[in-house]
Amino acid sequence: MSNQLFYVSPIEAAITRIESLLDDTHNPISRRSIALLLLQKDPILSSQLKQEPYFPEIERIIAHTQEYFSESLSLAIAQSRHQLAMAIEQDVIIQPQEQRTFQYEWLHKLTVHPVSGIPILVLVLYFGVYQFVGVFGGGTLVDIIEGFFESEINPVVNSIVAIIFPWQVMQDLFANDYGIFTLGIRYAVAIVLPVVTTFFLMFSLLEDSGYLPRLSLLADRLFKTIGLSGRSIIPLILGLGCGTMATLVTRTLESKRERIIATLLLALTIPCSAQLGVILALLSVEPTALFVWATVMVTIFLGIGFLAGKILPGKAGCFYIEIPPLRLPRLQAILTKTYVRLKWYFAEILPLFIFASVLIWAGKLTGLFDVLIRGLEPVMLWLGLPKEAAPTFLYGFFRRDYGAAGMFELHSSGILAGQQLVVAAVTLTLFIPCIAQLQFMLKERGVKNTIAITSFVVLFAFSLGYILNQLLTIMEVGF
Amino acid sequence: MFTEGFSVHYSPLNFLGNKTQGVITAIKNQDEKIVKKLLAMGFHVGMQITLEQKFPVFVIRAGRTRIAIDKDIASSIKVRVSNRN
Amino acid sequence: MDCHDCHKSCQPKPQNSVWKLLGFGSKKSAKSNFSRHSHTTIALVGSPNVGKSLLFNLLTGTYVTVSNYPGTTVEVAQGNRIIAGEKVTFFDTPGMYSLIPITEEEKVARDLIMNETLDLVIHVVDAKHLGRMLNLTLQLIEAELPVLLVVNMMDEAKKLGIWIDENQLANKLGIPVVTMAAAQKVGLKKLIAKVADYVQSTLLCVTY
Repeated sequence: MSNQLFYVSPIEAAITRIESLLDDTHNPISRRSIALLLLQKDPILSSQLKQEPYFPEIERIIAHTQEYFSESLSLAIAQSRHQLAMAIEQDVIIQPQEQRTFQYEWLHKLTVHPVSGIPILVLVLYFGVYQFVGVFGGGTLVDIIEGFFESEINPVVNSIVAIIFPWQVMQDLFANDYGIFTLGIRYAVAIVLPVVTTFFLMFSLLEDSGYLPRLSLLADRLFKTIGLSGRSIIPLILGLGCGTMATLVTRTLESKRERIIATLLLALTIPCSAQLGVILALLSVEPTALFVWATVMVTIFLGIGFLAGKILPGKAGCFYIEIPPLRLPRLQAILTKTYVRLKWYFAEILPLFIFASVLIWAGKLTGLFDVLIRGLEPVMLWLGLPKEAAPTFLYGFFRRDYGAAGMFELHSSGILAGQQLVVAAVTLTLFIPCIAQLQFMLKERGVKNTIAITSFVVLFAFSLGYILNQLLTIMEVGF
Repeated sequence: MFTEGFSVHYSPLNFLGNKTQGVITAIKNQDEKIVKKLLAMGFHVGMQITLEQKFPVFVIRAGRTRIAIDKDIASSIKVRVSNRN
Repeated sequence: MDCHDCHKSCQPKPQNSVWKLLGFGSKKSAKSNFSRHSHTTIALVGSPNVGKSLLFNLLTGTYVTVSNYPGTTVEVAQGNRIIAGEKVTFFDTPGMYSLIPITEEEKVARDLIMNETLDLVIHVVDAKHLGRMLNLTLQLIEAELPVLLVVNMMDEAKKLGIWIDENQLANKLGIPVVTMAAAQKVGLKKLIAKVADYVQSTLLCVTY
């Protein structure tokens, strides 16, 4: 081949020697390529070949070759490759002399300069997340759809089910308070759908406009103090949409340490959109309550992040991100993306909703839930909450928003009010992630980390709820 | 001063001022991973770059590419300054 | 490709078997056991933000999330298209900058191309950053993988006044090259025609 890439002679010599050592396993990639990867100290390949008898010899060759260079072998190898790549580019590219500038250059400058960028960030989060997702999605839309279900659908379902199944037990499985249709499907369609849809619309818009990398750039300094890099703002913001999806996306973070901190913060402090929507709707009528809730959540987020960053071994991950030019997003693309994400989300959660309904049904039938709820009741009283709040916490495990939505019902029936509402909102937000998020934590972080994180979260949620209740009582904050 | 315009010419990126243009002369870091990442993202010795911003992170532009990096990574890029503003 | 070679990287991470019994979530991990194919298999690789997922959508009609933020594609997606009368399976991979992975998402892409016997690797690059992205092309050629280079986003490059000589590039690299603007579906037919040559040529190999 005429275009064969040749490296400087010590590296070529090393390649030849390593190639001759490698046995002829039918690897999909060439021996030359394997030799080069080994010279660049590729960790995966090195650990795969560690057992081979010839491995010490390879290590000797690498060490010997390194003596020729003051910089790392990776750099030397990359340099040759880069030169060829650039030479090829020169040959095939036709470009006018004058370099045209990026589109929307002024806007780029505004978004990344700290003086203008941070206010823009706050505005984006306020209007994008709070107003659009929280108030419009979680408030207005939920009210409309929920009202429709309550008045039009549930009574119909209840009466149809009553006709089909004469037995109360079967009726409860499909209808009434915790039935598959009246609870599972209703929660999914009336509460989760509007909030998640508005969130995904907003997220896709930010993503397509190229704003997200700029967001992480601005957040980097702050995030370094909590042991994370600016990159982690994406899973964390995604967590405001769906903690389960966000837990999956923590995979993009560089170090194990960063992934654990992000997973912990997602499990503990970040409310998912369904939960956020309901909580914002509940608390926004009482500005002080909302303020207390928000302050507590931000403090815990920063405090726990800071401590986790201190306790976990290793240093904060490095930050680098490519900043694409800003561009005007295409509506079609945003809608498609939102649709695809919603489809993924519902395929993932609808079975869980139905499963949760069945589990609640079975739990009630066998009396297991009564035992658990009775166990939780003293905890509720300890937190200064009515004991009717116990099921909310139990169901909150099945879906975070089940819990929040349960709280909504307690509030509308007048059982939960004032200070109790704040304590319940804080404790529920902190309380363990839903069953789906737990499952993804197991998948991504392993059993040991998941158990550690979950037990910490449960203990912390209840202890903090207790302290908050005491504090609010002592300080006589009125709501 | 006869040293002027000479002594600061090979400098880690994090010591440069805003809008400095220069050529990368070396990429070095204790952490091999960072070097690999910079290489993979297209940073190379001999590359012409412009430092656009230093806070909250370093924003550098190389040709049509714009990349944000933190101070740690910036300190691993050594630059020969070609113009200083 | 023997399965014992890849079990380390292909297997899903330890997962509580209870969840599997309940049938939750293990669907995706099952996807990763795609060794040994009887039909043509093609992977799309490339750095983040070059339009891989969009191209994958166009090729397979399967919508996966198109993203220009690194990290929003984290799983390998697969979809099919009938080309030249044969079923061809395409894999869409998370972004990678080089053969040496740094994050876990990059490892997913590398595992796929290192452990699977693929009939074709389509490397998608951004025309605006050709030189920088050819690094990975050169690595793929070096690995003696069957590579086809798609130079995407020609429309955006054109706005910047950049033009790329497709034939010259193909000659220089010694691999097929297709220039495209996937967002406008420009070049799609040409790409499919090139892939079709490929599907037929594998069939020929079998009959010879």
